[in-house]
Amino acid sequence: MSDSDFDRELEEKVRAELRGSIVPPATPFYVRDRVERLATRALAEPPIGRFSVAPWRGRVSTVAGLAAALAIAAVVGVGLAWRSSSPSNNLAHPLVAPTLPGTPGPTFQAAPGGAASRGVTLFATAGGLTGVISVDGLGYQITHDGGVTWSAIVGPAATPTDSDFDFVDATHGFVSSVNVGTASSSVSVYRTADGARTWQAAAVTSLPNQDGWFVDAMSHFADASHGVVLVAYGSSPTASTPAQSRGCLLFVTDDGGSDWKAAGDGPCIGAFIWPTWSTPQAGYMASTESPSSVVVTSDGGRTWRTAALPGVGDGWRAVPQFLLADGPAQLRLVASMTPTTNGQYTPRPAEVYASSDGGATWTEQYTVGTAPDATTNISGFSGLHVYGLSRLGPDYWIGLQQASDATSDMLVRTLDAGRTWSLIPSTGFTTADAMGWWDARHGILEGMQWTCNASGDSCGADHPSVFLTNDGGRTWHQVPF
Amino acid sequence: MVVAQSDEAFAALTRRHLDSAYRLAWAILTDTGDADDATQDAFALAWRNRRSLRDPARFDAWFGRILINVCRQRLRQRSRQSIQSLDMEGGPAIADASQPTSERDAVSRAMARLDADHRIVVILRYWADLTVDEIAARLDVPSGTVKSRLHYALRSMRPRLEDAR
Repeated sequence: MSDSDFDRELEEKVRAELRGSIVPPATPFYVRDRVERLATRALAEPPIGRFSVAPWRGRVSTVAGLAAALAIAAVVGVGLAWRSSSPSNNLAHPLVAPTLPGTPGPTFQAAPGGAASRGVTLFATAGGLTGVISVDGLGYQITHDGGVTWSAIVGPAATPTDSDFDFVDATHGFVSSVNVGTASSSVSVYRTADGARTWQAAAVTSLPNQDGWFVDAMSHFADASHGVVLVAYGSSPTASTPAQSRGCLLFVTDDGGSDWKAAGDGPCIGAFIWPTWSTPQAGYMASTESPSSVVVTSDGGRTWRTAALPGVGDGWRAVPQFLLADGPAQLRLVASMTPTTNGQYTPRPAEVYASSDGGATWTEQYTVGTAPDATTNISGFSGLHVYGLSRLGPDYWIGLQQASDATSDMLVRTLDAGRTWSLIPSTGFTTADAMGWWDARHGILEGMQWTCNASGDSCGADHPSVFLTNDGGRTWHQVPF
Repeated sequence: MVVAQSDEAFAALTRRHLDSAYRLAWAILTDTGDADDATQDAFALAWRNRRSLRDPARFDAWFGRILINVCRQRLRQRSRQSIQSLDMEGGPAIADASQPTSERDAVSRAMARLDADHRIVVILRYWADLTVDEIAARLDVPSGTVKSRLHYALRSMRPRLEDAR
């Protein structure tokens, strides 16, 4: 059995075993009584302000409800390392969002072996109209035509536990792997030059095993030739200093991943974390130990700069959410604001920072505005109401926001880099967890389409699905996996 | 007695979310006593800080973070106690008896050796089926941190699961 089979199998094994063995009992009556007493006691206290509860729309699966609400509240980047078909520095995107009327979508074909709708994970990168998703029970699926057709990825021979496929165009893709042997752990990068039909492996490095140590790796390619591998190792992924026996190594390739050269230490910051890639060139990391600083690269991971973010303090920290590359050294960063202590959470709007020196220094620019929603306040912990942000033009961003009734999500966009927002009327999905865009018209979304019973008092969905748009987000079509 | 509409609404929210909160707390802590206390503590904190919830539509996420923080604290407290591993080493109190005992025990033992942060991401990812981004949102950490914790957790669990084959 290959490592790939095993890693995938390991995840499925853990999932199955946990679901089978962790079966919580019903909430005990005494817990229900205690919580009810908290309410009774509080209701006897003097009133504190007003709000109203959104109407409950009936049953939805627990996971679905959690997923939808969590994705909204927190303020996260899409996390897809999405690779636009147009390089970020080539500002060929329209300055004004498309105003096309809704056009009929393509007829989507079921993937080979497709069955009933299943859980879907969007973790892919894309170039052109190429995208990769993971579908429970069907494995990795790849499309080269914006989701019209899908096919299963066979191989590579080994993949990491939580694979990150990195495609720079329709044919060239990469994925890193760590093989833990008896005496050492070897890091490899698998590459394909034919759209994931065949894969070749290249060794990057090997580290001797030490008791209790871990070794992990992440690859990233700025183009088909130039890539990096970050290798982290140590006694604990949460160790914060080299004295705690951890380290990061950087390896580079200039020939498409065939030969790898050591390039010294990698960007180790605080806790062991991987960068989030906003563009092929621009990536960033934010440490939970030094939360108001950011580590960025604007050259595809070859050099990294660490800098503090100004204007935070007094019980607040900035959490980088969205990095934009306007040029080789011109960067903008959207950072949400989070209280540093538990207790009272007074929302503070997100801020935009700018750097003209590749991230060495930052200046505070302006406050992110509020998307239009008549009854939804900016709330939550981070003060950034939009999640799943994608950049479709220099100042044209598109994102997701929970609707005021808390039972659906909606698309919002800004044409002025977050200062003001407007709603994109969209149909075809109910809730969304993540979103990515190939260009200003073609997008992909992981979410749910709720269906209701005859009386309309019970609505929900069982599994997340993939939805596609070819009209800038106005209409979405579910992929029938 | 005149009751504030906001407090009535908040009470309705707490009732609505009680069962799902208890299930998640139990999944993380795998101990009835701890789950009881964690659930109660989380709702007590929520009531105490309800002024900070300005939009009830955000209750899920707002309360979810409180609950996770309480569970994490209890896991860490448990790890500092000499009797810490007894409950977890023994596996969940309620289990599917149809599964092979060796595999079930192997998962339980492997989970028992994870620290609080790694145990929580494994539960949220593979039991609650949240995505990496959703977990990052709930924990207020970058997605990369969640991925690395999952990598580390599975990697550390792998030898024990292999041994059980």
